[in-house]
Amino acid sequence: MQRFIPGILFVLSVSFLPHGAWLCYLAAAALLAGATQLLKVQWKKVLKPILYFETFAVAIACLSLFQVNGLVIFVSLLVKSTLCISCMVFISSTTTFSEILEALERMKLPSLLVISLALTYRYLFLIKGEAQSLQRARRARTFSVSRFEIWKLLANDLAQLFIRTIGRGERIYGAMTSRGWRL
Amino acid sequence: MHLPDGFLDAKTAVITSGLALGGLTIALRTLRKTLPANRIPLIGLLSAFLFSAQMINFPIAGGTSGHLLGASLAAIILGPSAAVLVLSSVLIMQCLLFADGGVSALGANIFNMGIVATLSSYVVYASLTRFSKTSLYFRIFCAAVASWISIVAASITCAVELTLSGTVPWGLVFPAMTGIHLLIGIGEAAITACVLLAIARTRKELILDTGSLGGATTYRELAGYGMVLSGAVLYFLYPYADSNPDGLEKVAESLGFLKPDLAEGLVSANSLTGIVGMAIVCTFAISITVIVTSRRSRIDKPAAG
Repeated sequence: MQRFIPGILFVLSVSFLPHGAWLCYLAAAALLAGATQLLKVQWKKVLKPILYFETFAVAIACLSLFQVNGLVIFVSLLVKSTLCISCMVFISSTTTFSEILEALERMKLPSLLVISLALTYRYLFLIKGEAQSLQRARRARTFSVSRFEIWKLLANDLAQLFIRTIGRGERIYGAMTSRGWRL
Repeated sequence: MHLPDGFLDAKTAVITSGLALGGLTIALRTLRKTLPANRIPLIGLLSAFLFSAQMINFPIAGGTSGHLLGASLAAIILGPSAAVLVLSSVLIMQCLLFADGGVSALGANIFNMGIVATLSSYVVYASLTRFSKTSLYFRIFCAAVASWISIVAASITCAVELTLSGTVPWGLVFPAMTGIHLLIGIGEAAITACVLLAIARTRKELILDTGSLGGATTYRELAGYGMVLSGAVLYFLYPYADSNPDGLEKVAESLGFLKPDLAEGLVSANSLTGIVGMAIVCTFAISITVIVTSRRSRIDKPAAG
């Protein structure tokens, strides 16, 4: 909570800075560097996601080179998106999602949205695990398949996962109501 | 297609967030009324499903691979409102928990992938399947077309947002963005068709009744989404509106009963007049629809005692 809202404010204010406001960028970077010291960010954990999300930003930013003042816009875009992505990765690596959900609930978001977000988070890793075990089982049964065959098999995995998810949803509703849950 | 932070200016971010908020509000209000209580957990679960499904890579030629976006899959099986909520949950999760997609661009991302992609595929699918209610293969074909359109439509709005923010020139971003997504859309269409076929093998009824899982689709929600989308069209196309006087103004000026400076004032009020006009036309159309449909249902119903 104490990190989430200042972090969001930081990201919003940085992303709306005009192009070429170098001093502001420098100040924001200094602020972020100070915050990483306070939050004790583990660099090994955050570097990979930052680089991963940077690729799409670079791809779009390259397009901005071909216009008047292109270089200024290109560098500004890269600096701003790097600052914002790093800030969000720092927040998500030091905050649990239930803290974020609590913050969202306190912001008076509609309960249906908060519940579906909470359930998404609750079952995300479970369903991801189920997807992995479905794929592992399929790989164990099929050793060499043609490219067309693999599409059919992967689609089969997804369909199977989908049907199991619907079944799980019905069981979860039963479990929730028997514990007295109401929207 | 997840826009990162820093690529949209404040004006575009605020307006796309407003549009996304409008669409999401319509979805939430409709679902509160039409979604059966036992389907509420399903929304969250299917968001988790889409999240996992987006991580499964389908191999394409040359070592590259693609994955599902799932907007059309959700819209076809769940109906529009539930699909909007499912996709929005996925995007909010990705933004807040995994830093995928920017916070300031969250509204734009929800608008592109959660609203434009789901609604365009739903509209295309629902209107195409009217031609044949029962044929499964025809439905799968319609689903493929709808998936392709959903990806292309989302990439176009994405390109428009980038242009209006002054980030990238339109002549460059439109061919680059949409050109790539014409191909990505083919992948999405193929994956969606394969998955729907595989689902149909065991649960055919899920595909034969469109949107049966996510509660009934009402005309009011579709009209609301129409308002949101036409607002977007208005905002997106307004900078391209012709600032030259139209025929009526030209004649009025040359005959001298409309002074040029007055005409200019009229032009600058364009977007406000556009919104007012849109509201008037929509109200008119909706009221006619309500009158016509209510009269027909009165005739159809047997006279009650």
